Amino acid sequence: MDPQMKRGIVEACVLKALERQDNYGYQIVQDLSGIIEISESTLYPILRRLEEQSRLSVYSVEHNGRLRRYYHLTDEGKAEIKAFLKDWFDVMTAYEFIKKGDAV
Amino acid sequence: MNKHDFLVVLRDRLNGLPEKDIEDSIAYYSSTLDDRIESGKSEEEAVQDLGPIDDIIRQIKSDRPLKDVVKTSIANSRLNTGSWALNVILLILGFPLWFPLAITALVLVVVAYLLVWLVPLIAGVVSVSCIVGGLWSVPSAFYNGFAYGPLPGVAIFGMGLVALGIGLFAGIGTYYLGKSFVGVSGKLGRGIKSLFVR
Repeated sequence: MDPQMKRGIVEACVLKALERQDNYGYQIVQDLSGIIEISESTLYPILRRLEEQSRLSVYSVEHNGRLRRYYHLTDEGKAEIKAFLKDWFDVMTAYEFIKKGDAV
Repeated sequence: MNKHDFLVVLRDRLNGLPEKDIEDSIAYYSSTLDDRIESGKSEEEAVQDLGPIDDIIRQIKSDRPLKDVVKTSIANSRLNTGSWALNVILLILGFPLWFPLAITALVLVVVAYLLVWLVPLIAGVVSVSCIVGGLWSVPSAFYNGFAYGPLPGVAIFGMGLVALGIGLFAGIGTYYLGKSFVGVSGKLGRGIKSLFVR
């Protein structure tokens, strides 16, 4: 798959994984296993990028005597999920046209 | 490798990145290792599950700006003594050795670019000179025709048209050559860059 496209899909999955509740790296990887292939090492730069684009925010919570980093979906992040779905709706329209084979 | 050793190696290998980037990476990996350990793994297993450290470093660097990545490559280079003063002294002492090498490398790069661009350049020069010559011979044909009789005049006019034709073909050739050579020299540039950035 085109790397640019793959990146967009992975980013959207990560954003979606945070839609219901804030979450931490290890759990995001667990939640996404079976949907996309992702490890903590590949997740890290994606989280960094999304954070720099203000689509996520990060905070630390005390957990069992240590700090756990939680990621929170911002309004920009929510808007990005919507934009992704809109883009793919357009792609699917084109897909249906291409798949049918015979032009109108 | 246990968690502490892993984080020490990680910090060492990221040396050269801005301190806040290093801290951020350490915090992330420390947190995710703790989560793995909490889920029942031993420290060693948790570290092992993260995969090869080279991949981890590459992932962390993948989104950082080029200048930071180059800095970390230098900081981790075997040529780096770790001491700034010693680096400078060695740089000065090594001048007779590295300066000619650097100049040679630079000249090679320039020559490579020149060679690549020579082909469209020649086509361009042929095109321009033929078109200018051809255009010039049209009025010159009339002048010579009046001055020396019709035969030289027609000959010069004909040669002028031939030159114009060649010029136009060479011009079209230059255009397409130029377009494809932009791609070639771009590849050359990326190739040179990849020598420095792994």
